[in-house]
Amino acid sequence: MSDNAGIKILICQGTGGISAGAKQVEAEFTRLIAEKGIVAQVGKRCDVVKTGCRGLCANDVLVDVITPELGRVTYDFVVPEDVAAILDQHIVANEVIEKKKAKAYYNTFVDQQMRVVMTGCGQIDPERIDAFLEEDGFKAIEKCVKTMKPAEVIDEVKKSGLRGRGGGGFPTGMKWSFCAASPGNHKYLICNADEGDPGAFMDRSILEGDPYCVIEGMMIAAYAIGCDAGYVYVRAEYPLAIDRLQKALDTCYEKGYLGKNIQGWGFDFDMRIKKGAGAFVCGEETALMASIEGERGMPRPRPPFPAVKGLWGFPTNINNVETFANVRHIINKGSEWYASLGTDTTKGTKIFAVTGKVKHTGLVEVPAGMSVRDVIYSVCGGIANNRKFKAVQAGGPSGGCIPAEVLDTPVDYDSLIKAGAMMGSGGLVVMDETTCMVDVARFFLTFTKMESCGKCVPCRIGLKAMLDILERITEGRGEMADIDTLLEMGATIKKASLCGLGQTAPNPILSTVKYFRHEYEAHIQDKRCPSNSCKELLLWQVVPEKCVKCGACLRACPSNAIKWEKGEVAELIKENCTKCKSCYDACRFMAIE
Amino acid sequence: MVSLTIDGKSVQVEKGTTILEAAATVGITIPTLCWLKKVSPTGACRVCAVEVAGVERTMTACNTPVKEGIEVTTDTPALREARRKIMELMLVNHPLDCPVCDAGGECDLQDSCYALNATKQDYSAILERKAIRYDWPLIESDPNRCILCEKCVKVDHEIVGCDAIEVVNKGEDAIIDTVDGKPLNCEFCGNCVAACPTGALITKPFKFKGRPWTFNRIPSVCAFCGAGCQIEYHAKEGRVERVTSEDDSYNNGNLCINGRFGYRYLHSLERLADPLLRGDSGALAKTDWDTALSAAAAKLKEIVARDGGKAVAGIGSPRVTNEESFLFQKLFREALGSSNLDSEAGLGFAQAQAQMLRRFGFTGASKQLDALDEAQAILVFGCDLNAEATGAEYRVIKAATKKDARLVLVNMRDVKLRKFSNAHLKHLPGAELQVIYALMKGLIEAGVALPAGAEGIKEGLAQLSMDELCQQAGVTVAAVENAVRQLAGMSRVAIVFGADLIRSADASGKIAALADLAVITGSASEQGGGIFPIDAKNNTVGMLDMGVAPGGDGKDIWGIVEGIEKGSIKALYLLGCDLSGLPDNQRIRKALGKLELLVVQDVFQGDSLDYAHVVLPAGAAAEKSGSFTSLDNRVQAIFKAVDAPGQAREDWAILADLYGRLTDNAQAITPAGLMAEIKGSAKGYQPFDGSRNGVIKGGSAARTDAPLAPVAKPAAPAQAKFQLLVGPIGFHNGTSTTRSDANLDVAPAGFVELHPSDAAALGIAEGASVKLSSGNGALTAAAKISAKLQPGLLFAPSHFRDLNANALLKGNCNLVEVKVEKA
Repeated sequence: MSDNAGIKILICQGTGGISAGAKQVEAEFTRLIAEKGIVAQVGKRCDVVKTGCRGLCANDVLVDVITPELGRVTYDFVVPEDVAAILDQHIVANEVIEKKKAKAYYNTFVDQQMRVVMTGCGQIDPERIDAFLEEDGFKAIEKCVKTMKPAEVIDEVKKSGLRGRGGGGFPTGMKWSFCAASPGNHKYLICNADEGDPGAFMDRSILEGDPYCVIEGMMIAAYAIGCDAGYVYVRAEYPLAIDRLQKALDTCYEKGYLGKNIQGWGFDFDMRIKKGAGAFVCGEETALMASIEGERGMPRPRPPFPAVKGLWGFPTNINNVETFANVRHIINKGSEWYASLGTDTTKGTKIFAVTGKVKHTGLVEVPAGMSVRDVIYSVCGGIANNRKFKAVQAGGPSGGCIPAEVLDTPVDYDSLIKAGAMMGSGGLVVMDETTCMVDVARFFLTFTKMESCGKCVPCRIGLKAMLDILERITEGRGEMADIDTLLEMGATIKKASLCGLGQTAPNPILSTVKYFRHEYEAHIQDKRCPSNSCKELLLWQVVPEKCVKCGACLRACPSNAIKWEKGEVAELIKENCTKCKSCYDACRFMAIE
Repeated sequence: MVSLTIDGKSVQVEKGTTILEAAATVGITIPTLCWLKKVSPTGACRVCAVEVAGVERTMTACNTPVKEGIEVTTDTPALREARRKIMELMLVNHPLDCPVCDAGGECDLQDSCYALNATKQDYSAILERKAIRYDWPLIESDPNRCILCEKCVKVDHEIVGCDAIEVVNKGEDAIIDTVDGKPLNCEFCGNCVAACPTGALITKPFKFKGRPWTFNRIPSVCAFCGAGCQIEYHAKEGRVERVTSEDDSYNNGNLCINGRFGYRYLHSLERLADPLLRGDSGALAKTDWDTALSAAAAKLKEIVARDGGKAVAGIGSPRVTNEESFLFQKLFREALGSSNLDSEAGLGFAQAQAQMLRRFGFTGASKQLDALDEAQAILVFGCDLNAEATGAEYRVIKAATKKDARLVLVNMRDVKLRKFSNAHLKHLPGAELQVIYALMKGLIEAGVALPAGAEGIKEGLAQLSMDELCQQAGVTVAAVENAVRQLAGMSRVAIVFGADLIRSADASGKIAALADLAVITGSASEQGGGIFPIDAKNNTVGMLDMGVAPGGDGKDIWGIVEGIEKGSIKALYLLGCDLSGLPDNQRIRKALGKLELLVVQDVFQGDSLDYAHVVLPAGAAAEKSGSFTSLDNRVQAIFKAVDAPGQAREDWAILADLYGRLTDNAQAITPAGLMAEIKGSAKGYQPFDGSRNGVIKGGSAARTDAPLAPVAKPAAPAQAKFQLLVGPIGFHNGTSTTRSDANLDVAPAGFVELHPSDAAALGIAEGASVKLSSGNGALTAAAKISAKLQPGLLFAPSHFRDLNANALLKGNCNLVEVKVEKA
């Protein structure tokens, strides 16, 4: 912060923060600061800053109070009612409200991370270009245009070892060099912000929290490749990201950071947003381009590759948001610095969206190569409700499930693939002992089947046939031969599908069969779901020895199927039970099975 | 050239060739299902996957271009297994209703399953049946049978340029449907149905008419427009039930609504099946051939004996074969001693051809239609190619979209090609000459090299002001300059012109000028892009070649009408021409009533029957053998598919019989014998081999040495408040298809199109009744409001006898001043 003398109140206003009530908290701060005359009371400036995502979305609203006296203190779960106390006690009386302060886990969560891409995210006001400029904004592109040839920029990115963060992990500098080598004066640059994996929100948070860093990354790529026009393809489900990015683009045009002869540097670049309509397959680059062209979002056969013949037939380069967000740091701090982070084959940091049965869900950015175990246990606090870890699903619907045995796998592209998963865009869904792996496979397959564009046969029909088998298994109507059929179909679909969606869609099944075959077998042979998850196979009951007579199950039950009196063991009335699992999820003592 | 090996064979092919195409050059067939040669590869079915050494994934042969040195394997146990599995997957969703499916027996899915050994079904899935679209006209869509190969969509988009259907929804819900989900509303060419490998798209007229293999397939040539598309009639039990075209035909299997569905006119209840004779009661009554022909012959002989051959006239037909036209003119010239012969070509096309002949020395077009594929620029002048020669339009679309040929339209109204055009000069009605001169002037100013002897035109053009030409034509100078930019510097500029020009007022002068423009663009030369006069009837060029035209002191069509009115012509023979449907037909009808003898030889009961003394029922194209000459000089044989209904006979047989009676010398006349005679007399037919694929008529070498027409300041076009243009539309061809229930299904009746601004000024709403009257006649029809026109210009289709829009016209001009009012 450049203004050390003042007081800053940073309020997390990513989508998570806003839905937790950050706007109301902000309004309350603004209102009370004025009403109470705080500025006069403390004799300092007092700025309320809305920032992007801080990462620990589960604990929103997060408020950082920075005062010269107490430094930075983070409060979590802040509601408007807390605001008066924070102002009176913390800011005026210089006394930290220990009760409201984020507990030690917050520091662990923050300290274990390494924020490179997300340095600005959560710290600066994403709607103010000045906040970005204060953080050396547009210095990297200025350095490129003024001191480097385009080829040198590509070389620098190549040397940094940056690989595409969209999932494929293709070396970014190499990709740029292909498009740069295509002849023509008119080339397109596309930023893929069609983040579609369930549970993934890295790109969204970056666009919401630091849109200028993406713009600068694209400017650098445009300069290096020779693109004169850029699109950011954002899914329409991200209204805040679109809103903030649009404001940023407008401001850039206004201040001469986009358009003709940017800042008088003799470099032209135009950018605009294209809103996607929410089809998962539009994250596939050829489908994405078809969508921008106004066509139906269906993949096109390659070759021709986009670098040769892409958007509207012109050479086109596509990278995802996180990839572009890395670029300015590589230019600013040098490829050597960047290459020093991470592992041999995966450089830099990677952002993960950690969700599921983990204590602290949210966004974490860690150096590549940290083990999956550390991400889950050290950074995110381990498994919630004292349950046992079962698996983590990495890489979204295209990825796979990693069991406890391989928890020490480092998070880099190649190790994850070896473990049967993939980095993907960075979604990590953590599962505990109550999660049924067959059901997980079914969930992801339902998603990919629904999102299949329907063009090629293996994906359109094969996924449906596989899903039918999985549904049969989870309903207790499976046969042992089904497992082999699944493996065989999975192999065919992977091999024969047209685009990445189909080529990876069987992964959740293949990896769960690989690591959790016994669960499949239990469903088929014993007609039993070992995780008590598949509704059709369950006969619910209370285990009297385990029941602590707390009544949580009664409160959770929506259908009057629990009989409980204070001090009594609960009883389950089978006739009323809809097998909704609410009591099971509510019981913290595994007394319902 | 790129070298590679496929299954151990070394192959050399051009860069950009796909593995599939390369394999075909050495006789290796890779199985395909969604691949269709005439459209871009789709890559959806994955059946054509092959192995490339060193590449982990299999590659689809249909869209993967060859690379230097690659080693491709097209058939391994693994590939066979993968292909078999894909077929099995496809069958998961496919209803096995083959026993009642129209495509059964000609289904690519059946054939592929068989070929790829998909004999069992390991997979299954719960199926939700999708609704069958019964509510589309002419075409039925059963999405359950669809394998989503997208051939129909690609044919619709890439060949027809119609964009009527699309893949909608996603995943397993993906189906082929209209973009808006409403019933299909398109050109109804049915090319999508032809491309469909399964029974997902079928034509309603053919549904349940029989198993495909039980039909006789008779090769023939489409008898509607002049594009000469090659077809097959599918006939059974004396009925044609379907018309198809193979992808390896000249027209790549592409047809239009008329070609595909127009055959339904064969089954029309208005077909003439018996000879008729007007008896003493004054009514036409059924009779036998001998009686009818004796009566006709006796009366003709009597009139010729009394008043000479000049008292007899004949109107021929561009619908009948070359052999029949030849015999018709022979009958007139030799048996009756008359040269009073003409046809509807006399309304414009004959004069256009005369200009081509004068200028360049050829008849028909200077090149064949496939030259359009290679054109660098195409000028389509005064022509709604969609309505006049759809087969030619497909080629223009292909050139403009796939090969980026520049497309310049000159037309007073928007036509379908507009969406593919680089420039459209939408001129004021009647200002064609101004536009031609403006283009000439622009091209010369752009520095286009003139051929020797053409320099003189510069002076004349220099006298004209570009501003004034453009102002008179109602186009901007910038628009002309843009059009010129598209044409200048191109070595292969094709010029296509049609009825809007050919039937305009003073068309000869305009076409002479257009021919000179073609000299400037080099279109008619050997290396040029070609010049194509378009006529909407199938054998106009052949008919003219055969001599069905006024020769010597013979009268033309209007001369004949005048002769009848004056009483000098007493007998008229109408061969396949319903005169009462021609322009100015109130006058013609009045004249027909004065005739001593009217012989009507036709396929249908037309309005001329009211005045006929003898009616001779004739066979349609599917009911006879012979040859047609397409507008681009391809002479192709047709073969009889079915018998004509009732007593109806082939035109040549009727004419032969009559010829014998008139000459008192019955002789065996056959089509083959007639063709032998034609080869001996008509220019260029010697090489004809009697095959369906035929030959290109010889003797058409173009010359460009004729002097250019003098350029003079053109008269400003008439300023009328409202003018009616009468012309063809795409859903019909002539009046024939108004007897086809299929065509009527989508275009049932006449209408009047008018511009939105005129409709607003007159207070006429869409569908409201509007009355048009000219000095010659009047009509009332439903209004269609269309921005394709321009203010002051109205359009009515020429096909419908009930509408009879031609009655409003005068003489050879397709444009007439009208009064417009709400009816």
